[in-house]
Amino acid sequence: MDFVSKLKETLTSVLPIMVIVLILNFTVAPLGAKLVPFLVGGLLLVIGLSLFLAGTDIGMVPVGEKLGSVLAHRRSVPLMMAMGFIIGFAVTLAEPDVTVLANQVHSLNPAINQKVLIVMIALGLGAFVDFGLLRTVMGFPLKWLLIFFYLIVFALVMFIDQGMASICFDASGATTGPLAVPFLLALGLGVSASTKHDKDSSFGLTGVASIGPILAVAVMALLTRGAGGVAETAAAAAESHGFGTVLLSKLKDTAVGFGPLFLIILVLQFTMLHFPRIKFRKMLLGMLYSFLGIVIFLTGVDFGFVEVGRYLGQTISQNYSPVLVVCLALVFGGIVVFAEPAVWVLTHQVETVTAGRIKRMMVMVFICIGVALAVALAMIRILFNINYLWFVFIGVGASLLMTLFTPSLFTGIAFDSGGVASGPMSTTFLLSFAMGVSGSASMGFGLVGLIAISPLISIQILGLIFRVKERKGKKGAGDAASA
Amino acid sequence: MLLLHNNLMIAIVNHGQTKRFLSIAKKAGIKGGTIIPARGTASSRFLRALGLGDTSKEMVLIVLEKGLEERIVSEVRADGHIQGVAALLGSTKEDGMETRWKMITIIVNAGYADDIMDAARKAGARGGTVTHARGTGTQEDAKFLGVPIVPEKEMILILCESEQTESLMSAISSLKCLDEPGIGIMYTQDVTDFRNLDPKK
Repeated sequence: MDFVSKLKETLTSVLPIMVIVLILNFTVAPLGAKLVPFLVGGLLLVIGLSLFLAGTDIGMVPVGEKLGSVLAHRRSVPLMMAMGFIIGFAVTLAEPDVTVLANQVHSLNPAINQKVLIVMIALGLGAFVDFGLLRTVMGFPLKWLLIFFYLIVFALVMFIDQGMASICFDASGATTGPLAVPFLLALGLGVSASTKHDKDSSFGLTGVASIGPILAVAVMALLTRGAGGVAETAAAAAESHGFGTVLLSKLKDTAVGFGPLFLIILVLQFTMLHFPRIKFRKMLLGMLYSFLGIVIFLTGVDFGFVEVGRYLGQTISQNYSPVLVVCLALVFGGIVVFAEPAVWVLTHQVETVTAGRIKRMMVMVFICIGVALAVALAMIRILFNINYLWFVFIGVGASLLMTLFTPSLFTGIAFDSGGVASGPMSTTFLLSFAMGVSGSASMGFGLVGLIAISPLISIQILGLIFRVKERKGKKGAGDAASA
Repeated sequence: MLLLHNNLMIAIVNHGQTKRFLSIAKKAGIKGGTIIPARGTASSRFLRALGLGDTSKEMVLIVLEKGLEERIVSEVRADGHIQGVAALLGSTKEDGMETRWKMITIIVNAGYADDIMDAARKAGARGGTVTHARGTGTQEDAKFLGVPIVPEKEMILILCESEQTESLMSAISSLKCLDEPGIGIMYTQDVTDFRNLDPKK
């Protein structure tokens, strides 16, 4: 909506990170010449994020909602499946995080072509958007769908090596980034709003969709197994480019990604959406703002944030005790979530859909605690070299078990926040911090995946607390009535 | 039991100010109000051209005894922290007398509000407020996989001077995109009083 209120929102979310980095600058890790790019980067980050959010509000969100309701009205399952797939596919191609991740994977294992990987991830997402939509319309219990597919994931992951396994989960976290999430949430809400299901089925589409990339990458890893293997490359020294070069390359990357999505939406406008003139113009402007916002955001991230993240990780882990690293990880983890645009979108929709019964801040706090612990755990894993799969098995296993007991609304929100918590802030700042700490690129992977798993547990705990409270309330009322 | 009065006060204030507004109004003597989230359409031409500048608003509906609105408005204005407007709908002042203000309400399928506001502005409207709503649907057979489908609607409120009403309504109803059967309805109500809540205005 209005740009100024978005600006305020993002400023309050990015500022804490900047303050902490500044404190570190004057205490344990002086930044020197990196300080100015970092500050400029932070400024660009805030502007880009605000512009992007303002853009999705009038661009992607109306498209997703309208498409969802049009599809439900057409009452054609095949059409709905086809559209969900095509849009899911196109959105993933445009998602900047996926491109970043694919490039990192390619540098680790040259046997994997990054273009093929991106297409595989996009196919995986598209297919699972379909499963998610079908579930919403049919009202099939979310938990059984999740349990079924995660069991398949576990089975597949057993056969591939640790490095690739961690990339699987990272891919899922990266896919559900700032572009896909508003769209997926809107589509899910659109379909469920116009089918008048209970509120519980509004959420969960993002959660189901994010399984797709895991499976896609796992299959890729199985197919290319033995061909090259994961090379243990040292973290590439941060290349310092001029501001113009970074901006141009981001502009190009984002344009290539946005192209297909833009074309599809244009075609949709004349076939299914039929937005009236002014609304259409507004939607186009929204798309433009989102596009420019992403470019500015990524430029800011690359220009200052990544380098500083890596540098901080390196300096602090070399010169100070692991305790400080873990403590910092806790703080960073908690704060970065606040800066994640998709988390704002999700928590806002949670509050709206539940008509304020579930308070936004409560969801926020629980996601924060979860992510803070996850980032700290990831550091412990790096420092003590523990097998990644243990974390995944225990984490996902526990959250699947919990789905049996938590209210289904919370299961949906939990699995949605999973994909949502790991957005551009974690794939850039935190990932580079982890890489700095580990000193090698491959150990840094998996962090995004862990971040994505943590809300599954923390939000479901919130759900359990709610359930116990509601029972107590009911019981109390019952006692009063009988007395 | 339902509270019955002849007068309805509609206040439209900035997002997050309803709490303050209601607590002042309660001190002035009302029992309570109903809050509806709404969207204010941009008043600045520049921001409108950019597609930005829509603001989050909240709409408060209060049924009250005649005369109470004076106290509420004066106390809200004295408080000075609330930006918004209040309109009083209800029994006309005297029979046959035209009220100075009118409220046009348009309920259409979702997605047309921006175009309607654009047309209304060109015809002289100063602003409008949009809320989301859901139609009850006359086609009861509309089901998808066994689930009833409900049409999503937008409700647009435009306050204007009585002389403007005709030209605004004809500008809206001549919109090409609204030229299909069953797209929506439009009606006017007399506004017996219209006030700005912001003391600076």
